[in-house]
Amino acid sequence: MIKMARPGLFSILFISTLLAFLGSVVVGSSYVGGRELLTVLSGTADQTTRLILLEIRLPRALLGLMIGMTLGLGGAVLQGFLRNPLAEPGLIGVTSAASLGAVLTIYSGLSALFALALPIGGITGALLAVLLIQLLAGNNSSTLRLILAGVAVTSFASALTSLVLNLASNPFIALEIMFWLMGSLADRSFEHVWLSAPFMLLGWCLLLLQGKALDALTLGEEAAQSLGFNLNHIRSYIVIGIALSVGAATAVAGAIGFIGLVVPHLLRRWVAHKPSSLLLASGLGGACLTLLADIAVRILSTGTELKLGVVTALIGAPFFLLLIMKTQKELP
Amino acid sequence: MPAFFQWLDGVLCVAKKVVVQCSPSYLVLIGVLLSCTAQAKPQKVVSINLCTDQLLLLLADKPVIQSLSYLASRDDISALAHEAVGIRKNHGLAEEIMLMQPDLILAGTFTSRPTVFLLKRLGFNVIEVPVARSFADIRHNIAMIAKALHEEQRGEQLIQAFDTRLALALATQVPQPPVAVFYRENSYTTGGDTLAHTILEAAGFRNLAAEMGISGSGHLPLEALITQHPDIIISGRKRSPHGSVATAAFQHPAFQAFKTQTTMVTISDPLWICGTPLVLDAVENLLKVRLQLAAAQQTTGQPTP
Repeated sequence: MIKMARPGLFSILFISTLLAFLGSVVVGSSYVGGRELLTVLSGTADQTTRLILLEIRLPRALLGLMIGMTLGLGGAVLQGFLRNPLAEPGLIGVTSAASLGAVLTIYSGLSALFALALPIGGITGALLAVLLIQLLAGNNSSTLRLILAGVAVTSFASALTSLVLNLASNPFIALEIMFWLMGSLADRSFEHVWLSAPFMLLGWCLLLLQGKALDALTLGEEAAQSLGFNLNHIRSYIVIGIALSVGAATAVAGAIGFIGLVVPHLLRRWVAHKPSSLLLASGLGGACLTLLADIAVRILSTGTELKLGVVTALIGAPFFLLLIMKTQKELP
Repeated sequence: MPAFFQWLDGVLCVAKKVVVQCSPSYLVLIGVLLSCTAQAKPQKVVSINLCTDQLLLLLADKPVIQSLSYLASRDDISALAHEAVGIRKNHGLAEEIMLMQPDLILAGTFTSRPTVFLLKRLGFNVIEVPVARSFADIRHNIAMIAKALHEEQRGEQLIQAFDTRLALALATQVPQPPVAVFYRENSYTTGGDTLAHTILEAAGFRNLAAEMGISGSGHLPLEALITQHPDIIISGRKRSPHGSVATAAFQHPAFQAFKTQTTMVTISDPLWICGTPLVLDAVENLLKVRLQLAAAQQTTGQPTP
């Protein structure tokens, strides 16, 4: 039964993600919508419509898709690897380190010089975090050490971010940092897409390849090792994969919470609790949810846009609570 | 004749840019066209920053102003809120601004970076105006916007009027300036290298926070405030409700006791936020306070501290 249902699940996820992507292209603050999209596709659109759809909305939708995919996939991989239902992509410190790197470019004024200064700062922060985590977690296959190293990096980077906010001598800088930290996709351009896509694609490849190992890990670490999986290598691949993809996502859009935590839980039962099938499903689910949240941001806000990170947390938190209550009932 | 030269200038501009950027992308073409039409006097100007809103209102004719930021008509932060009534407002999103097809966009250097970069990428003529920290900055910003608007003469007039009025204010100096301190909600104070500091000095006060080594905005502990004993305490309009954490320091018994020994002054915030000639209103208001202070000291026979 379940095996029959799986292709069905993937087609549902695929179609809803596609619809959400289209929705993200046609929804916006101006009149430009579905009819205008058709004129662009048929080549009869005027310049303004083309620019709005192709240069403002399309990169935004693409980034929503890629970032959602990254968060969903990252959450599923980490929950599988750590066998911890509370794991989320930010757990190993990449999100806070990327935020710190980006915030430092705002503080130093670098971000005012060229558009990519801020995301490059974020990616640098994420890559430095990986080095630190690998150093802290050592050549030890213990997942506990990885979690602790992640917690340490997260708190240190958050503390430094607060320090930067504290030291900002100009209230305008402090405000810009605070707004950036809330996470948003507003007015991102193709420059952001081209910068972040290679990192995310490489990260996805590394993460998607770990499916079999994650399946083996459901039997326990020793069983997985006896099946021939080198847990040290797998941990390194996962940490690097998360750093590349989640780091790039955070660098472009800021911290977007709850997607990586909630989506794997939502979909786990539909893939018969098999970690390897959950990876792609969770990636698609994350993309769909992020795109929907980003559409909600635009529909709900009448004037100043709400921040995407705020909306995902607002939707995600109650949903997650509901999920916890439900599992409590199911458990004996 | 000047029209011909303008036209020639425009043609040369297009030719130069097309040669330099041989990419056939429609983006570049639009960019070239837009940046070259900007050689002529802008007819549709959009501002997406509170401070550029006000400078624009001072420098441009109303019909030229196509849109101002949504903060422009809020009278608690904009000194020209009444002037901004009736002008279309924007929320600084690339999409809504694009649709207005402006030929000049005024932004602050801290206006949302992605939006500014995207608008530039789409070929719009965006002028980024830095935050003013001194009177020289105000002159510089006025000249910068006036040039972009092709209103150089108006800009010069505004700067001249500003300088005359400023000189008048500076002429009424007393040898021993009283010590003042900014003390706002959340114990926020303003130190050196800020517009507020410049205004305070021009009105003949010493800034306690700057003398304590604070640059930009910072926190002033209640203890430091009381031990340093400033002559006047300047606070902004109350924004937080009574009893909130932000106003906790104002309710503190130590502050309540100290308040009776010093002069409390409440200022009008809009005059202090942006670097426009209107800061001179703030300077003149403070000058009045200083004269009152001096008069009070004479009647009580206290020596000036």
